[in-house]
Amino acid sequence: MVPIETLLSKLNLYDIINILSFLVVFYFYLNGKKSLPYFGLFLFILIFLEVYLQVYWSYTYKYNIFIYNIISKYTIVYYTLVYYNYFRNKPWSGWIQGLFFSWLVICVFMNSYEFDTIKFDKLSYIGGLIFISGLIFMYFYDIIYIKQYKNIMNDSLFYLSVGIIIFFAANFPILVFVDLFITNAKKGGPVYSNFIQLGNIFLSLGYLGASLCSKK
Amino acid sequence: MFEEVDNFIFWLIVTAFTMPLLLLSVLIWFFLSYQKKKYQYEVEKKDTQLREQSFIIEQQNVIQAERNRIATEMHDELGAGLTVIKYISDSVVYKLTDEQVREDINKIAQYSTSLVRNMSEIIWAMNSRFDNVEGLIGYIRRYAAEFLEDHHIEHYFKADDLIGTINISGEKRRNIYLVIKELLHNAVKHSGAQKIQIEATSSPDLVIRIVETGGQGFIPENMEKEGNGLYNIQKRMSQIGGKLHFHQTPTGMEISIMLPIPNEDLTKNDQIIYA
Repeated sequence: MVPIETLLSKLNLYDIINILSFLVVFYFYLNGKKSLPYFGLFLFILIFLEVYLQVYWSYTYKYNIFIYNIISKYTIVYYTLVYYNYFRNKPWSGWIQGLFFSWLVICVFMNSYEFDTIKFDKLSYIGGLIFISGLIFMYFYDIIYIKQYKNIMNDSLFYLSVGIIIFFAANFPILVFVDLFITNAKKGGPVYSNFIQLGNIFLSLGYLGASLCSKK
Repeated sequence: MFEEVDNFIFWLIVTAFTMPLLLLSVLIWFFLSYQKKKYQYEVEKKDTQLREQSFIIEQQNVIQAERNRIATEMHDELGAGLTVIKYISDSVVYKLTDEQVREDINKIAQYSTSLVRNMSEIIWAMNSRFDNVEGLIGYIRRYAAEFLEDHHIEHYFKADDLIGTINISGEKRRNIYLVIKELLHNAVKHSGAQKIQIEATSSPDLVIRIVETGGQGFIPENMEKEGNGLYNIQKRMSQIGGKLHFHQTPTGMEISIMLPIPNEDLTKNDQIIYA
């Protein structure tokens, strides 16, 4: 067991926002309002992984990259589910399935070929985020050019999309050169950490925005 | 080695700042396009609303024109015809010797007079020229004065200045007029009032108060059991969304007719602004 003081000391601002988002989703769920599909469950597992399991892993095994590998893939799977749900009536929605399963195969291949619990699987993650970014741009395109006008300020997916895209843009170079940062932790560490933190805060604000847009 | 790393980190930071800027451009594109779409949508929505409103106004104008045409034709054709019947009956009466036939002809003349009066009420209700409270109050005032003078009852009439600026439909005018007509008949027939005062105010609802003094008044619950008159006037008021209130006073009776006036029925200069 991890002492509660250790858990609290490792708590980041984005973790607090995530917990707040989960509470909002849970409150709206009790009032018969729903946000994105399985959003409450997604947030619950995410909080468990980020707040407890990664600290536990770090506390027990002195490293936590393995948990981040799980979190990164878990989020990609959930984002795909959400965008697939949005585009499911489009004639090209089969492409989403195809690309997703291809990405899954790459993930399995990467992990079987070079399985290492202390190495961040950046290629699968970057590939997944590029795939999700494509879906987000399709979502924006759909809102602007295809669908009839609708108020995006009440749309959960809009907040999630903005959160993901800001997170991705802020962290893309860091994810590409993550190994170098880890090896030169003394030089690049603070920059790496600050950008990851900033990107995560935007992502968590996206979750919060999405959770506040729960509807009946 | 460290110089290379420093150089690399520098470019990495530049890239890291460039990426959000690129993203910001995408988001600005999205928001600008979205605002444009929103503006187009609002313009289209307003355009549709305007077209719907103008269609409704056109329809109302057509209905009003038709109402006015029917009112004019009723007045010109039926009214003139009935008046002729009345005058012919009157002139024939003097030429007849048979008492029974004279009585029948007199009845024809009386029915014709009554029909002319009723038709004139229908024409007044149909004609959109009188679709305002001023027209209603004027009509009631004229009727009340004639009716109460015929029965030698002292009467007063008072109306506030704002009344002239309120629009009211023909249906409401006719119902209110018939309600007041019935109430005045009741006052003369049943209560034995010596003085009747009619007050019309509009702040913001239209309220017409009939104050009967010197009569015996009546208990509305008892009256409801006796006849249909009270039931009918209450039904008329509820049909037009109005209310009727009876209050027995030591000196007689006080009856209030209340009709809510929607804000759009007030003319532009007199619209009530609610804080």
